[in-house]
Amino acid sequence: MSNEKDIQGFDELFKQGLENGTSPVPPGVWEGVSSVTSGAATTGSALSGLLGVKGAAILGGVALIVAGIVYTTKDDSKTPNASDKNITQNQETTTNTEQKGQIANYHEEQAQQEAQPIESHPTEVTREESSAAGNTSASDGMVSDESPLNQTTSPDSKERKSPQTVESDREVQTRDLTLLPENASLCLNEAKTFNLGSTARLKSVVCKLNGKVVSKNQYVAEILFNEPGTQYVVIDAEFMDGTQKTLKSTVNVGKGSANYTIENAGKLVTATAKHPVHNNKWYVNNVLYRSNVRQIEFEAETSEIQIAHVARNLSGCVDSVAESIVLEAEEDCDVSIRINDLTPYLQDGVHDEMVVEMPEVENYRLTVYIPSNGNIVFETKEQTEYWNGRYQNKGALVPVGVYIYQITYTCGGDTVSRKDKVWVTNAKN
Amino acid sequence: MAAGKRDTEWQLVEQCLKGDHEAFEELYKMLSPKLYAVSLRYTKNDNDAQDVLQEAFIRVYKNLKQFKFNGSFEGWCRRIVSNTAIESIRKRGRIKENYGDEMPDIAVSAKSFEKLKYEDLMKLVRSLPDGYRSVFNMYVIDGYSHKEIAEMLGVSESTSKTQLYKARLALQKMVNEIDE
Repeated sequence: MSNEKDIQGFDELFKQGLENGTSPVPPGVWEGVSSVTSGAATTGSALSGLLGVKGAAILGGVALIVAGIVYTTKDDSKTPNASDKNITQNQETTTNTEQKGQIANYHEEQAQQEAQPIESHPTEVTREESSAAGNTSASDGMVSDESPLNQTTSPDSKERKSPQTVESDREVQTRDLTLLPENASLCLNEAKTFNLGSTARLKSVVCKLNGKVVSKNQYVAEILFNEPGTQYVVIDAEFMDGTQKTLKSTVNVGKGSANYTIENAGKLVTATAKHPVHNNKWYVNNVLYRSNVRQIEFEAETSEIQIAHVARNLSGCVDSVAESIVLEAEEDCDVSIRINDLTPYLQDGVHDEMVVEMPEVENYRLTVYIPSNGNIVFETKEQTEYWNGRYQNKGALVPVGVYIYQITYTCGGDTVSRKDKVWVTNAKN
Repeated sequence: MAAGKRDTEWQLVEQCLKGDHEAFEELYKMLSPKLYAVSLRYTKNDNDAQDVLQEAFIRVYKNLKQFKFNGSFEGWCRRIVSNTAIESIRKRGRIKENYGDEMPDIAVSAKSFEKLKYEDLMKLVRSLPDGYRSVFNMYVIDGYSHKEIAEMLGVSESTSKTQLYKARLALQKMVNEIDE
């Protein structure tokens, strides 16, 4: 697919095929949407007095973190501002009565900040009703209008109910209140939406993660899980009639581990995953090197390399570690004796010295001695000083025969000693 | 878009704005299959797609008054769905993980490129890593420019172009494998 025409054709295939596609929506999505929106005030009218543009802006921003916040928090609602002037034509259709009712609700909510009751549809609550109920707020409504309990806000009406009726309401409340999902498995740093699929009339709801409050008065909350292991989501709900209920959900948070160890002998590098992985990928200098192996071995071309390890555990949780590594130079202390036969008598410039080739080391000492009696004929601590077949390199040539050289030095903290024969001859090699 | 359909949508939106929740349900029934398809295109698994759709519809409802009544309501909703999906992916830090995603084997029934059906195309696109998939959807299907994509995804324009190039290559490779 190299030319523009091919690319356009390729793109067009996908565009035409997918642009207007439809897919049947699984059941449950609407219930989630409806639980948030059915009790919510109509955006254009009922919210206008309290939320206005500010409320919409807050909703837009907060929606990133908390999906579908239903209940208007105190901070959202208690500070009407100049932006409220930006009421649209639709908003202006709100009746004065409704607006007054909301403002009344707003003031009453201020007076009852602690309670933060969850209220029914604001447009349906008159000031008188709200006062009578004694638990009003300026929320945009979490409770479905369809809730049978919405019809029982007046204390008077409650008093008229028989005990059986009240008990029936409680049963409805209890039955309707569910926390979904009940159990979940996630990967570390993933978020999960918990939905309190309730149409029951609630006074307050507190959502806790491992005992810590993460949200209040929300039907739908998204919780970020940044601790591995079993986590507990608990909802403490209180109904309008004073009954309480606690719902629990257990979340198993898995954690992938891409950690690995690095060993190198010179430029031969071995990387080993610390933990078993389900599948993985190794990248060396940003190029995929191997997949689905726990250990890789390769020869580095440079002293600094980039290694990235992407590992997926059995639960499907992916983790990645990428780092630059400067390889430690291997200490090469091997001695190489280039010439161990000396022909100093010939004075021909060839094989006149016993050259010792090796990296610079510490505590170097070269000794050459006569094997039969151990008498030393040459000794030096300078690595660059080679034996030329004379006593201490200065006197007469030593007799033809076999000598022993011994080199000692320290390398990598260890003392190393090497000993071998060196021949002094007068014959051409 | 036919004027009749547009009028119906606008009428329902107006009813929603007056507090008629049944009108919103009607809009949901009308648009959700199309918007779910958008959500599926942007997400890797069905649960994520449903979460995105749900959140998007809540946003639609909450922001209805922002709708200007000068264009397609469906188009407006499509943007909300794609934005919601992108935010979801970004929030999970998946956009830049070019090498963090597997390229799973997929089974597509079509025998040739031209015969690929909607379901096959959807499978192919959804099998792409997050970064590739996002850019491909935004550029090719939804018509965003590289500049817009770069801003929305928080990457450079060249990254957007590179990811699009790689997305095409990956798709082509998968299509070729199907043909073999």
